[in-house]
Amino acid sequence: MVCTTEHSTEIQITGARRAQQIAAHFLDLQGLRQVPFGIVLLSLFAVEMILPLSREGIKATPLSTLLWMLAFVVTAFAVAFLASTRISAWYRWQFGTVEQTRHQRLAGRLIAGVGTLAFTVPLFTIEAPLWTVYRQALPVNFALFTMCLGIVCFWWYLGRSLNHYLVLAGLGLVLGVASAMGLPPATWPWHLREATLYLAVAAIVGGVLDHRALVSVLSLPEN
Amino acid sequence: MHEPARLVILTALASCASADFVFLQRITGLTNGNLSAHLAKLSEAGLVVIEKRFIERKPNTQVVLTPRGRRAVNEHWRRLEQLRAGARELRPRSP
Repeated sequence: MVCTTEHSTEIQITGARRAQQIAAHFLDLQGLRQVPFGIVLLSLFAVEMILPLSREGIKATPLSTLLWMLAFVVTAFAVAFLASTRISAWYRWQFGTVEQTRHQRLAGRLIAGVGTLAFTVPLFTIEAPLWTVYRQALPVNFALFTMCLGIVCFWWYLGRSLNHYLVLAGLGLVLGVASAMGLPPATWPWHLREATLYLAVAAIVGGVLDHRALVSVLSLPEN
Repeated sequence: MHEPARLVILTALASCASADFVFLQRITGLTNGNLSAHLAKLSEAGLVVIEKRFIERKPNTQVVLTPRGRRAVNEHWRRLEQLRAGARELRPRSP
């Protein structure tokens, strides 16, 4: 009797808690929305591999090539934004809508801000001027560590249950340690390329797995 | 409230500003008729408010938890946790 009560209580609690997490993070878990941006980041990585990321290298590249690359990147981001909008509409049509509270919206923006800063500050505020002026780079790819921290924050924010983010953060940590050993070479262009590739992989893998987590809970209605 | 699907509906609504019919149907796995019946009962009890509106010319049913509903769901969760703790204490211990 006690076991039956406890068992049914546990089932109720588990089901309701899962519903609570999904309702609270419904927008965050619509992972396919970030996949187009991940693909764009992959193409950006390809551009970074082709483009000589130094003042002399850029001066030596024909202006038309630079403009074509710029046009490609801008168009790619525009297409990704459009695709993301269409995917959002598909989620609305398929799974309905949830309106977030003011507090949730603020927390979401804060996490997005932390993620952006984790990528941009080490690479563009610290390393880029150092590389441009003194031709020096940090001995480790610092951006990988800050991005790891950002991913752990996101995992925490999502309710500490989507453990694929911990695996992605672990991967970033391993890459960060490898960069301290000189893999890839300690230069700003290589740090930028590595961080872009890592962000692209994290966006695509994290997005697909978030989507799977969402779909597994939002079942089709019974007959 | 004691019915599992109603607990799921109210708990989901307690963790957001509002949710629509499609979302609640997906999260509970109930049919249109069953979910409508549950929502009607919850609305009669004053625990939720049902708002019908149009989004992009399509009808949309939005459900919002009332302050009374929020108090009720919080109280229910407190009791549920107590029940769980009590059941744990009553569980026979292995020698």
